[in-house]
Amino acid sequence: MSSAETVPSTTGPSTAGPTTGASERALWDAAADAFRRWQSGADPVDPLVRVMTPVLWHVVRAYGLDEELARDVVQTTWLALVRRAGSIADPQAVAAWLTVTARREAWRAAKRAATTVAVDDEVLDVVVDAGESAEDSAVQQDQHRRLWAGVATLDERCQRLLRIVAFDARPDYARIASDLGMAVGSIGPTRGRCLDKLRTAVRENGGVS
Amino acid sequence: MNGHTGTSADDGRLLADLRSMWERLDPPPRGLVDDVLVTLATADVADEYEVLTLVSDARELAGTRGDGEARVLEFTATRRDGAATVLLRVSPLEGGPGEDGPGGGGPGGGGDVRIDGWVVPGRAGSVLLERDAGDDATAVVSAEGRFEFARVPAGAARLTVSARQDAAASVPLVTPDFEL
Repeated sequence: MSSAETVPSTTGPSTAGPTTGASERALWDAAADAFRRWQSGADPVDPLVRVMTPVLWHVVRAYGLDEELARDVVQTTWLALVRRAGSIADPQAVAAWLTVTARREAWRAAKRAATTVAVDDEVLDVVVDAGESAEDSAVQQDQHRRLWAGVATLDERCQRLLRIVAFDARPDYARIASDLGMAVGSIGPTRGRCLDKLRTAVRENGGVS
Repeated sequence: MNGHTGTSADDGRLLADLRSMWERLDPPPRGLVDDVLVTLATADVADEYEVLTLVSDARELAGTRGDGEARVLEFTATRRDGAATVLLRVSPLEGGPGEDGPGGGGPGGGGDVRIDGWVVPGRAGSVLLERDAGDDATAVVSAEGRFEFARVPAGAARLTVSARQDAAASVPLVTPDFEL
């Protein structure tokens, strides 16, 4: 166990663990800022929604929900925020509040749906065809495809855990652990093992990571 | 631990790569942000609600679920596009810790209920259950208008039923407060 594997809390000070990139912290701060401005009446809720919706999307999709259900869960998460905004005392906590709420809703929806719908390669082909853009270099597209294929070889728990921690700057390990049926102390090591498996899978496919 | 070989820096880089991969290959659907904003705009404006009226509150013998009696509540509203009805069957649940997954539950115990709901006409969307005690819950409404809350603590509550934004946009339906 390295010190990087201490469990961050959702409300504590920022623990700049290995998953906490500068860009994510900036996003958390932007969310806090947008929340303050919305609460003070200076701004509509729009900037906050624009900043956080993509993150919530990925957090929810980690639970294997199909597009329609994932849309619903993101919507209800925002609706819950509007109803409960008064209960959020610390604007810095708004991003954490949103991601935790989204994950709880996604977990429930997944349990209700009882079947997880994996995004299959067919979907990927469509997305790749539609999503090619000038800002993507050929090298990057290639790397994305290899990573996607590598992730697809991992078990469901690894896939879910990696997607959650990739998008959640301060993951609530206790809650993730209970979602995935794991001990809190094993999240860090499991994450490491999942990343190792991914490296191996990508390498065997001729990629370099 | 079991020989994790990557360093923290390696892991951070790989997670960043994964993030950009998912952002590129499974982005939020077009229009999601706009849908959210429209939903919030309707939720924000009080007179954009249709307030439902409780028209009946009948007890029925519970079927296979639990030993207690279930209540059936019927709410209706007259809308521009015809009448809307929300039917709820509230069934008492066996005691035990009211654990509805991570973070769910709360005090739990014998006071929990199950809610099966139907919205007529059915339209896919979402329903928000607000409780005076806090700990709101949301559920997905199927295209047929079905929704359920598998276990919620008893107490005063109200429901807001929102249709997913589609061509036939409609305002949310709100029930008055009722006791679970």
